[in-house]
Amino acid sequence: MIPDSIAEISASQVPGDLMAILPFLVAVAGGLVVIIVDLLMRPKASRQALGILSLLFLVLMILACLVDVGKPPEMAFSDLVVADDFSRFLGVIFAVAAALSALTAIGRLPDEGAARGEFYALLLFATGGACLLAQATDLISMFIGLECLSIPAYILAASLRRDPRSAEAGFKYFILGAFATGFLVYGIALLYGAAGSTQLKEIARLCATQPWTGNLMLIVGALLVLVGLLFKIAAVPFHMWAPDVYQGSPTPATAFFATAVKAAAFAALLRVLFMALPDMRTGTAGYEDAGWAGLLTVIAILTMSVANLIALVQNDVKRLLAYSSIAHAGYLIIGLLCNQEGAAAILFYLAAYTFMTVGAFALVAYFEHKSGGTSMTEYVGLGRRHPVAAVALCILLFSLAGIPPTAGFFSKFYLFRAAVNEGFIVLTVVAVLNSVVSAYYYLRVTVAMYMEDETQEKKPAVKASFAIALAVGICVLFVLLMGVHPTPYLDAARSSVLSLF
Amino acid sequence: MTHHTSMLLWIPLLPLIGAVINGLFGRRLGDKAVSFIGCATVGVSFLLGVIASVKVFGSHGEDRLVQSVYSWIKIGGIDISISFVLDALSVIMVMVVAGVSFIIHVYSIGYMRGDAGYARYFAYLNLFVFSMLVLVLGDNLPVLFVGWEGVGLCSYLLIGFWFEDREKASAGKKAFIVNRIGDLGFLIGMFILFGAAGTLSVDGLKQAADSGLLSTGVLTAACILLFVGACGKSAQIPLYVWLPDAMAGPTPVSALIHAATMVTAGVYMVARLSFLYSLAPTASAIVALVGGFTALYAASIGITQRDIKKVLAYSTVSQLGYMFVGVGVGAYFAGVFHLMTHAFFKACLFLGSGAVIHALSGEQNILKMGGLKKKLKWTYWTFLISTLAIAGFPPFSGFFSKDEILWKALSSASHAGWATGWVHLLAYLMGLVAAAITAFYMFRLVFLTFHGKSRLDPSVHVHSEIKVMSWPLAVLAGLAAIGGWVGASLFGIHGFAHFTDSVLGQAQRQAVALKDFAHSQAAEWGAAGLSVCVALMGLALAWYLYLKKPDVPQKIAERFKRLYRLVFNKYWIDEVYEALVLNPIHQFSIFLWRIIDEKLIDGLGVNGPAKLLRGVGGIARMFQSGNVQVYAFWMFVGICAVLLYVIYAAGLF
Repeated sequence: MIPDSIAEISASQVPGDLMAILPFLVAVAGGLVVIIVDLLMRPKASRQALGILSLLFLVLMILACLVDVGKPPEMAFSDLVVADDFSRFLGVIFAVAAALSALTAIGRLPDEGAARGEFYALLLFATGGACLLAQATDLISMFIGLECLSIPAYILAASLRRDPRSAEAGFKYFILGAFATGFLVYGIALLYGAAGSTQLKEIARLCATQPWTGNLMLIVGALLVLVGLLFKIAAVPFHMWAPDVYQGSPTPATAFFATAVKAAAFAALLRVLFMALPDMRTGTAGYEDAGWAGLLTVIAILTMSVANLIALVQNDVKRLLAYSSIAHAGYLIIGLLCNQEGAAAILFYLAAYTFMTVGAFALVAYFEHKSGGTSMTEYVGLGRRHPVAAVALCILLFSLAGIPPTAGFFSKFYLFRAAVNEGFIVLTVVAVLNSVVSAYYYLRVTVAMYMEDETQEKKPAVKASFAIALAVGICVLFVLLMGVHPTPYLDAARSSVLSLF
Repeated sequence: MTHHTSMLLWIPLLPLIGAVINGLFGRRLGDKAVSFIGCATVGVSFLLGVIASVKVFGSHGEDRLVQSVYSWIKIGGIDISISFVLDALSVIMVMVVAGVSFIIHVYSIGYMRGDAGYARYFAYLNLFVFSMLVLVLGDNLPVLFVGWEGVGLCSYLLIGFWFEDREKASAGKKAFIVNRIGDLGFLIGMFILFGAAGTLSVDGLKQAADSGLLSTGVLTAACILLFVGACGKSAQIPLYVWLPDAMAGPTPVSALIHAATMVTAGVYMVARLSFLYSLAPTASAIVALVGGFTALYAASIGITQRDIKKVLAYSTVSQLGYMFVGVGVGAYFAGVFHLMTHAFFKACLFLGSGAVIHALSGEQNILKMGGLKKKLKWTYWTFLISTLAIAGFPPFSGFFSKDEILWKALSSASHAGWATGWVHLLAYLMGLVAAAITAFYMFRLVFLTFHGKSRLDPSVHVHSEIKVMSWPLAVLAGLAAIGGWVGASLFGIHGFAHFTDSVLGQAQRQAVALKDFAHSQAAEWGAAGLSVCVALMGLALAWYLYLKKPDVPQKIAERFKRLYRLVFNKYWIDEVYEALVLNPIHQFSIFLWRIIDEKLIDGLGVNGPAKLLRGVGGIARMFQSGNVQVYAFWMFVGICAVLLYVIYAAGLF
């Protein structure tokens, strides 16, 4: 709803509006501070202090999200954004993912020759964009959030300036991202044309009042918006950028893409599907398959199966994890089909997934040599050379495979249970079979670390890094905590999704 | 009255902390620190138990303390929390477990001195104490089961403690596997109860049982299956075979785990669920019969054994049988009472045998001992007191507890229905005969070990006793001597029965009409007199055969060669199991391995699809050319496909 004149926004409203987007403001302010401090530092000085500075802002951001938990949803900026428990829950996920990525960067980037201050600034800007995206209740603000998230991400991907693979990753991410954004904007335009508004709830009202199956503009608009978001979560067939980008980017940035960016896109998907398009879930009588439920079922099956199958033949651990993250997006799509329980399961899954994925990528970064050794052969014998780190990686991989008592088990369990309760038996069976397949390639890494004989001569031990150890420690701790005592996290996820329905 | 508290958690948690510290850093800390941490954590947890118990004792067992730590699993209708309860029943168990554990920890300082795995030993032992305390404090069956499995694990680790020795390692495996069979029964029993009652908390089950929600069929099935679990853990026929082999572990372990605490878990479980067993008379009858038969059977094997620890092992199996007779005939407090006194005297006997073995540098054959009375004074006297207790001589503890069981079995026989009556009478008779045999083989042990002429190898030098090992013996012997007086019903002391009444009383009254006959003092004295008489007969026979005419046993053994060999070889049960169970399984598993697994599953099932999947994965990978234009093209194709799908499905064509 566009106000008739600026004067209508009373001055007294503005501070309240700003309070509603406080996490976003903290992140963006943090980014600006980092840039300014970076300018004041001597060019040759270590940029690790900037990393610590950004951690500080991320902790503030978590606090900004947590203080308001439990408050009723509050609309701001003429209903462009909302501050509710849903956005706060996700805000914490974004900040945690960014903080853990930053810790990994502090430990790793100096060796890569990419320890520049803007890395942390861009990380903070992207995190702010993610927050905005999760808060958006209007297609315009959603678009702003998405771009605010994506553009820093493109630069992050390319931040290893001397590494051609990194440049290639940034370039691909940008080209294909722009391509997808094109569809998204086109979709927004069509939806505006059909509904006369960009507000999610106005679109929902339109769908509720007239049968949508005849409205081609509405259908195409909605589909293009969905496609734009499915690109961001790397769902098949819009996934092809992901392996190349994830592998080429500096590993701390990859960790951020695989978790925070994906979580933000899921937040937007949940908002669009449940707040704007609930009536497009299924078609009218006779055309039940026409709604997005049928479409997403197909995409979920494709995403899980294709990603897991390709992951089977990967010989590079970083690329393997990239495919694994696509496969997890496939599981998560199932949650989109399962209403309230499914949405809660998605939030729980995203939280658990963030810890296990960032932890795994942090360890990849830790083992990575300057030569860029992420291939499976580099992992042979790590069980002996780095026993503690190897055990941590095992726990995280077990969690990714969904083996109890780790967080991965309960996240899959809640998700599949929601699916079974909603009657998606076939889909659940496919997902479980996919989990079995995925266990194969996760365990391959374990086998390499512990059971294969070292053929080469002794390798130099990797330099220990406190920051990475801390990041991995936090991840393992939460993976086990959420696996042993999942109830509080699930309860939080359950109460957070209430504002969507 | 139910009180909430936050201290119960620390009772099991402290030993766990000790286990973690000793397990992770023990080797660096040195033996002194390890012993201190091991003993102190268990000691403090015992003290906490005492403090917590004050309220329970103060109210004569009426009050109970509960602590719900957190909600563990909460999915739909299932709500399982980690919660602990300290009531009249668990308070006894906590005292026994923590107390005896502390004593044995101290003893172990001397016994394990200089062992290469010293820290590992204490870590395991602490872990065991943690698991056992979780087992007895658990407020619902899943938590109890966590402890149940935990003690099983520790038992396995400690039996195979000297795992370089193949035989000892395989004894550990045997214990683990036999227990697994029992655990399967336990699990199924638990599932049946959950299916019928919708809850697994003890209070919830009690409510369900009281309100008649559980049919007799369900109760009988569940109780029998749970008892299968108890048979495994508490070494009853037919799952007792692991316990004698478990003596491969260090002797303090045999005393703590395989005599005083873990093996009594089955008895505790039946007592804890007495409200279910009392409603399932068939299951209870089975418990009593299995218990009685085990008591008799294991005692008979005890006669012929030559290894000092094996004699005690069979004696433990036999005594556990008595406890099951107690809980089987509905005298739940009597079973728990015997559990307590048995913990005292059997721990003392085992530690005594450990002292003997230690003094003789590892000799365990009692035919090569004799005359040790003078050299091992402390050991001898404490051993003798405990032997008097286990043989059932007044006024030692075993007399009161064993007699209580036998008396309840007998006195209930005439009041229960005729079938149950016969069962109880049969259990009583088996128990009575076993009592005579117990006195015989225990005094055979004492006479062969401590009396008569020395038959030691000339090369063996007898070490003197170590103080840190002697005073635990004295404490336990003291308890074995006087511990029975808390329930000396013969003399009108019903303290134990009254104390446990709030937990066990209702079930007891439900199970069988115990009250009428129990008041007949004359009959009770008569039965007690009979028990003492048979025990005296056993003692006299042992004296005659092993002190007066030491050459007679040899002659008897030769005269009845077949019978002797049958008993000496433990009725060939291990061999029977091997022929009937192990070999077929072995053969079958070879078939499974060679034909089913390698050919069918690996060939067609695993490698086939794996090859196929990898092939498909390889094809799918070809799309991933790295060319950004190609990617964009495929994205565009994808969008077109999506649009076509929806437009087609929506019927716009």
